[in-house]
Amino acid sequence: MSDVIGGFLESYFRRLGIMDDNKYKLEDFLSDARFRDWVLNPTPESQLFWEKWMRTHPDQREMILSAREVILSFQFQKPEVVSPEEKDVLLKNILGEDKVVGSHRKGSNYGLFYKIAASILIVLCLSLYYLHFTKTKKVEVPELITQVVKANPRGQKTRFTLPDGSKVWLNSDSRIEYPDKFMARRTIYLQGEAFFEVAENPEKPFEVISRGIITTAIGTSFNVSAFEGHNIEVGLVTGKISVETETQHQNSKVYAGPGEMVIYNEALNGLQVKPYANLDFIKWTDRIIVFKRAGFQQIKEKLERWYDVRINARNLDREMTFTGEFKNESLERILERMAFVEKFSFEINDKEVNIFFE
Amino acid sequence: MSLPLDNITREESSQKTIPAGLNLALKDDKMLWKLLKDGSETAFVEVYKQHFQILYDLGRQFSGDFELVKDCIQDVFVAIRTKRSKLPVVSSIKAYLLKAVRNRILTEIRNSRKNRFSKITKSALNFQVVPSYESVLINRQFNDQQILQIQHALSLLPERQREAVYHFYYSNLSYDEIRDIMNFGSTKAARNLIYRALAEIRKTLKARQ
Repeated sequence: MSDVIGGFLESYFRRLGIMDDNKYKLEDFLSDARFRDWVLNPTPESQLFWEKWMRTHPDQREMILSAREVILSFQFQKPEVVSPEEKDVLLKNILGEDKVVGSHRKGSNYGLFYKIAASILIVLCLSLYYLHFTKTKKVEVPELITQVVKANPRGQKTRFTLPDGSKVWLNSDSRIEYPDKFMARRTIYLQGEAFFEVAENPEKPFEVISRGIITTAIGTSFNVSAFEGHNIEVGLVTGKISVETETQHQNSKVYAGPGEMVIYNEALNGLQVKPYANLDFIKWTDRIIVFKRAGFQQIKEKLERWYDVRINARNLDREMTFTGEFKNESLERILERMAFVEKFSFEINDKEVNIFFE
Repeated sequence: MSLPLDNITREESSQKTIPAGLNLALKDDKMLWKLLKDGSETAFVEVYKQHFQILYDLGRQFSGDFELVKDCIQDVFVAIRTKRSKLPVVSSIKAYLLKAVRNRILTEIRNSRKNRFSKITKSALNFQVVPSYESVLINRQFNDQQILQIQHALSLLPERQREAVYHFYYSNLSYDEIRDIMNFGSTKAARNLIYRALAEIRKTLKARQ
């Protein structure tokens, strides 16, 4: 598997013509169509590709993240949106004008076979459509829906707006997927962690599906943390939500109000509602790292994800319970402050961090 | 756009909303175009619906007169309908339509300069960029001022260069498609122009850091 990716990478960059010369410039990435597609429309495949590229070329990492940010930092002005009614009027003009001109009628017999074939296909498609939408009365061409994917590598966080106006803060090492148009429900798939400020619309429930847990909300702000290997935690800031498991074999649906948080324990397959004491769990959206009596493992995982580093510990022979908050600080500053209290020394070699306990 | 892995992620969510057969037929450019050429009304309407906004967006870059922009789009679709069986085979419907609408609007603008006062309702967008607040990064490599510098560097480029960058990022086109739409002599020429435009961004960032 990794050989396949490796070979693929190599041939790709050879094609780019930047394989031998190790000096890539910002514009080499900016002008690359695959890079553009990754930044603007990431897929699991492209995500894997560029993550791997950054791992194998750590010296290029900063430039890649910069290039990504350049692309995200500007946009072309969008003109006013033409209303669906106006578009329909225009379409009717176009269809009507054709009847006046009426020149495509004199088609030859040559196309007849294709016409019949096409008609059969259309009838087939329409009946399929009917089967799926028995409740719809009018035959309309369904609007095409594409899934939008946004993904952050480790070390980056983003904030953006969904098609319905809801706001999302997406944490590092996290990914969400949603349709470019919401139909009856607003369904979002989440991996990792995100904070949602939901635009109110009682007709269209807003649901976040993460690792088998469905959180449903109407006009609410809440945080879903669903990193692999951890309990899933849904913290509610305002409004009301319900949380249920996708499988539902346990009749498990719980409701939470403001000040409450829902915890899902995979091992017990159980949902639990409990009050939270503070809003620490959303501070990451303000670039604040919070540790509350945190053990070493917790600190390590958080910092690794936040700064995209690997942390190794030597002589870790005691329980650590560190408490502290860091706003917008460098990794070095944080470790310096911890080292003093926790009595360790450390060294940072690019993406590798070694901690020596005294 | 349709990478093999796409299907895997799409499975879970979109199968509820769209019947597979029709979706497939309408999603595939070649198939859709063929249906349109063979006289399918469904296909024609679908092509119109899928592309209207991106064509309008391009038109508004050139002109602030939105009646003119809409007229041009209408003209293009009427022309497609009248000669549908004689239409060329295209690999990208989007690129084909963008080129057609672009040509139409440029001709129209040239004529209107000679013939009549156009009732400009708004100013043309002229392929200018603005800072993106949609996707402000929380962990930033750049500060607000640098983001403004990026915008400024792009605004100083000649219009043709800005248009090429627009097609690359906004219309999401390949270099081949940009070559066709903007009448470049070669793909390489299209690529070089965009490359040079983007190099300006790096120079700006470097100069001020």
